[in-house]
Amino acid sequence: MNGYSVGISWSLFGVLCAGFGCSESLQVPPPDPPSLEALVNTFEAPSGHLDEDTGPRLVERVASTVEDLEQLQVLGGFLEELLASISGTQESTSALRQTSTDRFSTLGTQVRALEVSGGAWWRMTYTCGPDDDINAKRHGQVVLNVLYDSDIVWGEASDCFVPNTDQPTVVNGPLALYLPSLESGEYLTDLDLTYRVGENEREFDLGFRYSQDTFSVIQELDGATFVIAVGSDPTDTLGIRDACGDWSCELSQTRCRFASATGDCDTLEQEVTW
Amino acid sequence: MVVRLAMSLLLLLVPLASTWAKHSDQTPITDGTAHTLNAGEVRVGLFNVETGLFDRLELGTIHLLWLAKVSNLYSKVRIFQSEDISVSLSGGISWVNAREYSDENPDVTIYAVNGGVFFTKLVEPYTLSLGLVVTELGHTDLSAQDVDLNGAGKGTSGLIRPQVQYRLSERTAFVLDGNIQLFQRYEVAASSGMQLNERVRYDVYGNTEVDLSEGLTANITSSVVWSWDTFNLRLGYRYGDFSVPVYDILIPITDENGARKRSGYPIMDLYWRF
Repeated sequence: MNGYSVGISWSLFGVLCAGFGCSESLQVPPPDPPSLEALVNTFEAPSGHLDEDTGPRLVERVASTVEDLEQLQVLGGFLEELLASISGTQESTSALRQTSTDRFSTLGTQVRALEVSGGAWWRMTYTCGPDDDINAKRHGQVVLNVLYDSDIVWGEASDCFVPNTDQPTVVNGPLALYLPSLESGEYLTDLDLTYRVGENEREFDLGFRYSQDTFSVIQELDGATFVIAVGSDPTDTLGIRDACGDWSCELSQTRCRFASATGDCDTLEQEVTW
Repeated sequence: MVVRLAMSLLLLLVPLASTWAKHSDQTPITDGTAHTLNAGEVRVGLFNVETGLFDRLELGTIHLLWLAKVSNLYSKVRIFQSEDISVSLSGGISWVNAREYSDENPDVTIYAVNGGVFFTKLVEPYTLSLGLVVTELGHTDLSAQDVDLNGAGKGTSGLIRPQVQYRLSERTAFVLDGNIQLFQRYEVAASSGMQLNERVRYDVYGNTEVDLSEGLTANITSSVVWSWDTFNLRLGYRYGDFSVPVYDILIPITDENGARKRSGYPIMDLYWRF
């Protein structure tokens, strides 16, 4: 999101205006985005090694979390909608330039166009609820902060009803997204959410990545990390990235084949079976 | 045309002034000069109240601002006095906490501090003065979570204030004075919001530095000051950019296209001095 500028209206003497009781208020510093560097690095370079021992254990672990993964996919759809909204706000911020000729009359306050190319940010408030009842009081909201010169979008969901699910689903808690490119639709997110489906409440404290219709999550095994890529049917095929590269696993064949190298490994197994 | 008409009216009023005179070397006009009220003297006016604490020190406040919950105090001390030359230092401070206006406002104090030096030389029947005033506008720190903001500025400005008095008689004096901006630099924060659709609202925030010194920012005021014993009346006409009292700053007024739009307006002050 580097390089964007925005025209915003400003009231130079809003500080005076505040002093005289009108609705202007005050200067605040941009909020600090959370650091997602460690999570990004883990996705890029996991530390584990896939072999006859770790392969079946990883598959078993993924199989036991299929339900969670399905919920993640629902959540992913919801995040996609949030991202589409962010994209929409980004496009329309330029429209603010057109409104910058508004004038304030109190104490001769003045409004003029201002170009801000750095240090600017915006806050998006997404009101939750079904399409026919969009209401923050009844269905919660998500507030996200976006810095123009940062790849990170972050904020908090507050009792947000997630649409497009069979059962009433509500999410709560902080979330942060790493967006290397908003246009690509790819993102990496760090969640610490409470996810409530009906009466059942689950805690999600994890990071996952969405790219090319595939969700990736980190799995830790004996202190080593693996990236598990889940496609449309996680009970049939999985992608696993370890310290050496990407593996394609066919679960019915209990076999993973090495697909491409991403790491720096001296010796490579081309196939792991169990 | 308007200026001519105003000046004609003022000149017509001159003969109406009574014979009770007060413009004298002992009780000279103090506004915009290095002169101060004498010890024990009190000035009560439409806008302010002042008193002379000692022969060289006066203290004042703008009472109207107190009604608007803005605390303020200013002072002037004469540091040098010879037969025809006076030098004074001036200072002022005003402050208000945003909570004075609403409990929902952030706990922040908005302040303005100014300091100046004034030189005055008597060249009978003229009194020539020159002032240099520097003003700092600001507010105490805010956190990003505190507020929704529309716009605010903090920064520094400086202006010079020349004045020529022509003492027509002890009851009538003509005053020509002006404000010329030397510099005016502000850090500005601003926001603008928009409801993108039923679900999504965004608020854009930006911080930047603004140099308002482009072009000449100034105004000039022509006025007549009558003194009927204790009662003093000043009527005049000001042309140019807008002067904000107390804060000693000039606001350039522009039209919708950003072009400078200077205009004139009448001014009035009245006070009792005893």
